[in-house]
Amino acid sequence: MKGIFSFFRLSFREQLIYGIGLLLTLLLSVFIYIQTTNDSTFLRERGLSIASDHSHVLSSMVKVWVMSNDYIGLEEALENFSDYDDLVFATVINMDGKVIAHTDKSIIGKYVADERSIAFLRQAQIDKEYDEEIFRNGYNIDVMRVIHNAGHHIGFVHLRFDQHSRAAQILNRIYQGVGFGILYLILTVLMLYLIVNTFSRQLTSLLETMKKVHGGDKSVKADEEGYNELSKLSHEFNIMLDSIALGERRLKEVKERLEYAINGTQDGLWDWDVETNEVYFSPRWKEMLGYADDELPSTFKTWEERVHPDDLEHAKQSIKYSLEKPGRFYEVIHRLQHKDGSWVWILARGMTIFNEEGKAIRMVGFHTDITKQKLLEQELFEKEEMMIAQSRHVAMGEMIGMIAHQWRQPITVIAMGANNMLADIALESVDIENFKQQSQQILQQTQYLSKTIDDFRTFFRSDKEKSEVKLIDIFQEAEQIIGKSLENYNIDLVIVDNSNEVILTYSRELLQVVLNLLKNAKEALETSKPDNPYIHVTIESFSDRIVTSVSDNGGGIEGNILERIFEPYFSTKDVKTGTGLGLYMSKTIIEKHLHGIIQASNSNNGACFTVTLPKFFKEESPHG
Amino acid sequence: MIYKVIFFCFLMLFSGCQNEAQKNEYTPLYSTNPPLSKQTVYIFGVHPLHNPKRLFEVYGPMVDYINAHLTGAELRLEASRDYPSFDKKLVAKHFDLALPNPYQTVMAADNGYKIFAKMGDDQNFRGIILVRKDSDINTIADLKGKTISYPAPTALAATMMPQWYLYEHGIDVTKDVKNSYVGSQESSIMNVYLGKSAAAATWPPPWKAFIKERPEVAKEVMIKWETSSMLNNGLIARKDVPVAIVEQVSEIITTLHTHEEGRKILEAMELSHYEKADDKTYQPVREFLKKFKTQIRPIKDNT
Repeated sequence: MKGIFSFFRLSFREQLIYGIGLLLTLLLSVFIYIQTTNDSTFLRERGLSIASDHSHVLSSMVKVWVMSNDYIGLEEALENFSDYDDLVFATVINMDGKVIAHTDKSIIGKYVADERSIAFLRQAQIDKEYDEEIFRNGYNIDVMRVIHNAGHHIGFVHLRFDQHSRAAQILNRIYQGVGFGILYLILTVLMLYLIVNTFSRQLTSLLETMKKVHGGDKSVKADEEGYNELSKLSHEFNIMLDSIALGERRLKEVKERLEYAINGTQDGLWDWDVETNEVYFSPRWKEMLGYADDELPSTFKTWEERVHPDDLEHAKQSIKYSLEKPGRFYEVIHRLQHKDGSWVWILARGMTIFNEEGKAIRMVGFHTDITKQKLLEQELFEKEEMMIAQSRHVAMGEMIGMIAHQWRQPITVIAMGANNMLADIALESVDIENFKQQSQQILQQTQYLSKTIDDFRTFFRSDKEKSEVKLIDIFQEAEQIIGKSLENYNIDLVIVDNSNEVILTYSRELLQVVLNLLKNAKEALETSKPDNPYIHVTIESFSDRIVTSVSDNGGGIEGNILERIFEPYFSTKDVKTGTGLGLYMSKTIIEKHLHGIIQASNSNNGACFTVTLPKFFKEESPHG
Repeated sequence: MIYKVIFFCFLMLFSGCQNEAQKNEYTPLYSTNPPLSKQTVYIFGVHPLHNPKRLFEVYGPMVDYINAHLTGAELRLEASRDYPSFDKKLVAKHFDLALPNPYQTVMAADNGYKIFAKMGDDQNFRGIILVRKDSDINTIADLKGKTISYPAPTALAATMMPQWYLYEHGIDVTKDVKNSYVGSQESSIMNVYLGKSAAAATWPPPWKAFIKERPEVAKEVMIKWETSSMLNNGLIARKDVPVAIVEQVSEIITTLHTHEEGRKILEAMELSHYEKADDKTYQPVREFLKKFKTQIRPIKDNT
């Protein structure tokens, strides 16, 4: 058993030679055994058959001579048989057991005396059906056959045939068989050895080539010599090597291209195996956070631990969203903590890869360091804030001018009242009723002044929180502030509110825009002096937005500057009246703070500014 | 392990070479004494009026019948290849009992045998001369210069009596015709049928048997002449054969026609009966032979 197992541990070449050789030997042995056995059986049977046939012939031939007891006839009959090489003797015996003919003439006339012959004779006398006895006797075949005549046994013949030549024939057949078998075996094993050796050599060569290729030597080639299947295999293997080399070159190119691209963009690559939770972070990814390539473990936790607590939930939500369905891209801005403790702004983008069952198995993407942009944004934001403040200061100056203008008349009234009262006191013509009337007038004017102070104070109040307001209220508030100024120029302010809806917004900033638009219209009307100067305000409500248009008949804006009017420090007015920041600030406030749109166009005979505001807007997170 | 298996295979390969050599176990032995001690066997020779096979068919049943009823001995039928052979055996006194033709009967009677019975139907013991039906032999004279076939020179009915007949009808058989002794009755008939002879001499029993056995041949041949009749074949016994045996055999044979089984046996021989006879019975034959020898030719087996 151990031997059988050891066979299977032999090399393929040895297994083939030993296995097929052994099988052939076994089959050949069986074949030769069967063949020689059949041959010898056939020859033996043939020996018996021939002996039997001859006994038949002899018994027929001698029958009449036995009947006639005719020695001459018997002698003649036996003479015909004596020519037969294998015949040892032939004899004819009558029913008395007397030898009436024999190839050895000296025996004629004698009686059989051996047990076998006597037994045969007896049996022939008793049994009418008795016919033949045939038996082997060493190298001889003996056959005794009864001579029949008309239901009588009249004697018997006894022939002996020598089987030496037949035995030699059988042996010869066996030797031939064995000889042929051995020759066949030797030739077959030799042939097998040659074939297997060739096969094995080619296989070994192929194996060596594979080892070299595996060891990194891509320049080697397998031996293609010959026309057999292995040669074809080697040929195909070489083609495969060429293809691999080509593929590797292309892959290298692609890889290099990708590396250049990644290095060029300075993005960090990450590749997350969702099932194992292992993440590959590229060196650049780690570098962004101030780490060397070998400093961070390749796990999801590496990322998770470094995300800013305020951003983590949102980032995870984004990841979850992307993992749910194919086709959803992952894009989120979050902060990661740098090795030195500072925060790095990251734009994370990626995609999810799903398997055939639709299960997310992998997520790959890039990190882009957007800290600089974020700082710039911040800076810009601050600048804008400053400019808004600046413009507000300008507006405040203008307000103060307006206050002064509005206050002039009441103060004059108050002063005149006070003068009248002082004059009455000096003239001692104090009339209590007149005093009372004068005082009430002064009080009334004072209250008016107080109210204008309140109005302006409201304007100067800074917005910290959004509040629910109606646009009509904002316009009416603006009218309170600027209304006197408009009246001075007979400008007709018409406000049509078709919405009557409340919006959630920064109302002070919106008021600043409205004042700016009304002021611009007023200044245009001051300049163009039309017959019936007016400012028309229309507030329209739509499903998700409110559109407000402010139009006048001040002649409009010249076509060539229409596109530039929202640029900072662009003004068509002279230096005394314009700072060039009004419309720029209006646009900044509407679009960046209130998420709306402001557009300028020319109507029939004046300018028209359209402000579209969302009914509700969600405050973006400072990082998103 | 591999080598063990290979060795085993070669062992199998050579297992086909079985040992053919065996010892010679049996050699026949001979002695001068008969192996089986049984009752005395007497050889009963019948003259070759048929070939041995036919002879055994015809006379075998009679010998069986005799053996079945004979006490103290047993007969064994023996044929002979031809008349000379039979004659030789007779002269050598090989037969204990014999059924020779009338000529041989009288010759044997002078040479240690005695006659104890004979075949009946003497009227049938005559010679017949056959020719082909399409033959141009019409008269005996037409035979002159032609070949005549006979079974044997010593056959009385089938040879000597036809030759005497021819002699009586003016043919010198030693000169006028060519005599062909062909060995048996059937051969004689076949010779004329095949045209080898112009006429064939035989006698009725074999002719009747031949008609039965070879009708297609027999119908081409016809009886042209018949001789007068003579005494039929005799039954003789060597003088040393016990009288009791001879008498038993004589009794059995001569009473065959008295029972059905015997009649069947006789029928095969074309014979109605056997009858007792002795030396005197054959005196006419002796006379005929004397006449024949002096006037025609010496009687001897010249085949």
